[in-house]
Amino acid sequence: MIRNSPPLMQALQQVIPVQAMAEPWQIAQTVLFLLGAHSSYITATDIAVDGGVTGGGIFWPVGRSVGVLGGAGPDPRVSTTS
Amino acid sequence: MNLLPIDSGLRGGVFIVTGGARGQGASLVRGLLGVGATVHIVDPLGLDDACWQTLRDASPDSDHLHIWNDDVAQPDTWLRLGAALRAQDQPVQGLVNNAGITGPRDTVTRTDLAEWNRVMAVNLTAAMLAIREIAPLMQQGGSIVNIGSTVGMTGYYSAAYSCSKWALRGLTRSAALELRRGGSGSTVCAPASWTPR
Repeated sequence: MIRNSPPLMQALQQVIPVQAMAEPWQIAQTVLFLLGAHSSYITATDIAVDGGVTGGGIFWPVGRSVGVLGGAGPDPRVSTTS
Repeated sequence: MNLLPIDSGLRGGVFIVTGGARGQGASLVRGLLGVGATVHIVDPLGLDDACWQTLRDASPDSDHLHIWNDDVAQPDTWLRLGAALRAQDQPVQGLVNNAGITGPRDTVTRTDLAEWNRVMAVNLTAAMLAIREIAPLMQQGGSIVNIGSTVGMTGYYSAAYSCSKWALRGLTRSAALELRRGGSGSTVCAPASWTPR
């Protein structure tokens, strides 16, 4: 289990745009939706419940690393040259 | 048609959840019990584990919670569960293939064949066995949900786990095309939910 590996837990939270691991109930709620009548036209597909990981792709960590998305690096929107 | 109440298709239905003793499986089981559904859990976790009592406490009565303390990867598990449901003439509303193991998270060149086979058996083959046995017991509008992973959508160094979750998406599509029952046949892809005990 991931909770048994603190380094993996920490690394994952760095790459998840919502910056938190899912709680079990957050997955369960989606499954309840898929089991019930509200999802009767959904089939043969994947539902990402991933805090934005697949939607954000590589550009969440990239944006963090260059500072645009609030990372440690300089914010390129702010000119530091004179 | 008017919009449906939020528990439509859940209340009074019969559901099967593998790996439902703890973690997100147990969270789902509690949700189903909470709307008046009947749940069959298939999970090999030792019966002396406190997780089971937590679920029994969440069940309104003993008729709503059924425990199959078995290995999901054994065909016999599904034959027995299928026979029991058939004998009770209980149509199944939903099947959730939630049970999964990570294995040792080895890369391809370090993969042990026995570990590979066990991960595939639990994460993939068990879902096929479950669908094969349970789908014939489902009615129009029944749902099958296979719990995937973000690493089933991208590359991941843990070869066996990643491949098993990629393949589960294929199984989802194969089953959905065959069954076409108007209910969900879906894979839920989540990155990681951590499991407080």
